[in-house]
Amino acid sequence: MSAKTPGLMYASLRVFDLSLGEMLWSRRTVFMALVVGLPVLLSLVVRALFELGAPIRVMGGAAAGPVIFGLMIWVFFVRFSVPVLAVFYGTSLIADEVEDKTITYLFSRPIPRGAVLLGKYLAYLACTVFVVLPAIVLVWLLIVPIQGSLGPSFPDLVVDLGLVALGLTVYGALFALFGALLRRPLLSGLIYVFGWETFVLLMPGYLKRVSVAYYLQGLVPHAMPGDSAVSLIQSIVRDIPSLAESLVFLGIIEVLCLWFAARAVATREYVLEQ
Amino acid sequence: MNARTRGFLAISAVVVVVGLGVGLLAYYNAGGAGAPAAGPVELSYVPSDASAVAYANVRDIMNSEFRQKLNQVLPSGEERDKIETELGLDFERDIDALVVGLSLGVGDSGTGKGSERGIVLVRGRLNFTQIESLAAKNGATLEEYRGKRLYVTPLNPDRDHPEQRAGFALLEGDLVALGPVDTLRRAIDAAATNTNITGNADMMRFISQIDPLSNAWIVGHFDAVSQSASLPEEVRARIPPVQWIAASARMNGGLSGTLSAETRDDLAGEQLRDVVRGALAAAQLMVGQDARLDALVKSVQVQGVGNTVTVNFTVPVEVLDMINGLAAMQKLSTDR
Repeated sequence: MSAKTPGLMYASLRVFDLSLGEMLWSRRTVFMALVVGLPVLLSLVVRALFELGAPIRVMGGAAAGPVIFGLMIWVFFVRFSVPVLAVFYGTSLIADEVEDKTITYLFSRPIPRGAVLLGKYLAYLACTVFVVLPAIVLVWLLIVPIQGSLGPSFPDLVVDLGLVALGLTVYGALFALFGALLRRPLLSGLIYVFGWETFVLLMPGYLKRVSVAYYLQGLVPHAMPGDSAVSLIQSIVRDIPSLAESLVFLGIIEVLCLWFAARAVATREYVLEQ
Repeated sequence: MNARTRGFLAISAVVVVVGLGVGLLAYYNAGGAGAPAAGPVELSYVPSDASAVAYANVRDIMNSEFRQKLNQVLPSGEERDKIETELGLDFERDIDALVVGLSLGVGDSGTGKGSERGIVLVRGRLNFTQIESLAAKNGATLEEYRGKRLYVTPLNPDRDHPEQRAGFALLEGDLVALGPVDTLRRAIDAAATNTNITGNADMMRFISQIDPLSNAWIVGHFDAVSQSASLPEEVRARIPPVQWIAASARMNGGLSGTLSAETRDDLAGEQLRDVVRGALAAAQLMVGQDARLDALVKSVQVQGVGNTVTVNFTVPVEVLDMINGLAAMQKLSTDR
């Protein structure tokens, strides 16, 4: 009599439940707290300075809260925190288990191997979303009332929260694939984020479509800051996709990356170092 | 998942939910979807087909430091004193708010002329007795329309159409409307039958997005300008594809404001943003070493996606001092 193998989703949820606590209370989360804590701390300082009467200037000019918030979302979160957190967490979903030599125990359970990756991916998503989104809300509450008001910028906050969550989802899937396929996934991930994506967004033509940032920027309600030479060049060759196109391609990237990552984990032989 | 993990997730969720709740409440109070109509109550007297609506919180503007600094630039003198004496009105203290509604109609096929109708609503502490006696002294006739008193200027048969005569109407205890008599009647009808500008969804969408802290704003259907028959064809063909324009300003110590435009399509929006950025870059080149003008130009931020273009700006106090100084010098040279 053979026991019925648990389905993929049930098994994934069991792995998620097991992994969430481990991931949340790991050293990596301290790094994440520093990354998302910096804009919150900066917001506190800016707000305190404003309340004390100091003029708030951005790029040499006075700026209202909603404008500053838009810049912070773009600079701190969309272009830095989201891809960096996805790289550090996504590439280590399976790698950590291999390094700790605990993957054997996971693979010995009667669950599909792909469920291990999927469950850990869900744990990464919960971990990052529950840390990053509250940070964004706190920044919004602190910054927007500076010569601005919360009401009119509320729709932007909702879009930004959705955008960041979507960015974490898609980047996480992409770097989970990196982790499943590549020997040095962390280095490759960082080169992809700070090298490849910056480079292709500068190039005219269709090359930029081979990047997640191209589709994410189509969803950003705030204009990109135009203070640096790189931003200026990007603005010249900028070709913003439509909302529908962005969502469709991000969905395709997400599904394909997760599928290939789960397949790679299922078929690969992991040789643990003695 | 242990208790510590569950606790952390719960706290995070509470922070997000509370933040969204505060935001939703603020959005509702500022006139978001489903909220009571945004904008001042005087909008109930603006006809629903108005192409542009403007509002000024005169009291706040008069009390602002910004206005004090511009005293040298603003005209003052006998003409204003005369009006104040005759109407028993102190412009600086007695007027609280102004609302202007303007309709730019498409031209008549017969005359080729466009119909432009405007109404000015003034709220404040107005001396109606003195205003009415001045109107009667100048030959204005009193009419009553839907329980409101209308004062209409005498008809000049050589110049005036009966319905185009100027007049004013006492709408409420502290609210007066000025404009052509047919527009005054339409304003009274608009409030009585609730067919006013608050029912114009497009206009109210822009009005509801105005920063509630603004002292003055204007929202206009730019397409109405381009379709106005009073413009020459050559000019009309060159008007940019902008459908709506909204501008708002907040005056406290300095002046900060926002200009928003909605274009016909995303391509026009992208092009307009590029044009504005190019103009800013040119302005930065031209201001040279002048730190005050440089600060003004650098304060301008261009935003927007799709078919919207938003420009935020701040006029620093130093620039206001510079304008004041120039005006004072000009006044000195003309007085010589």
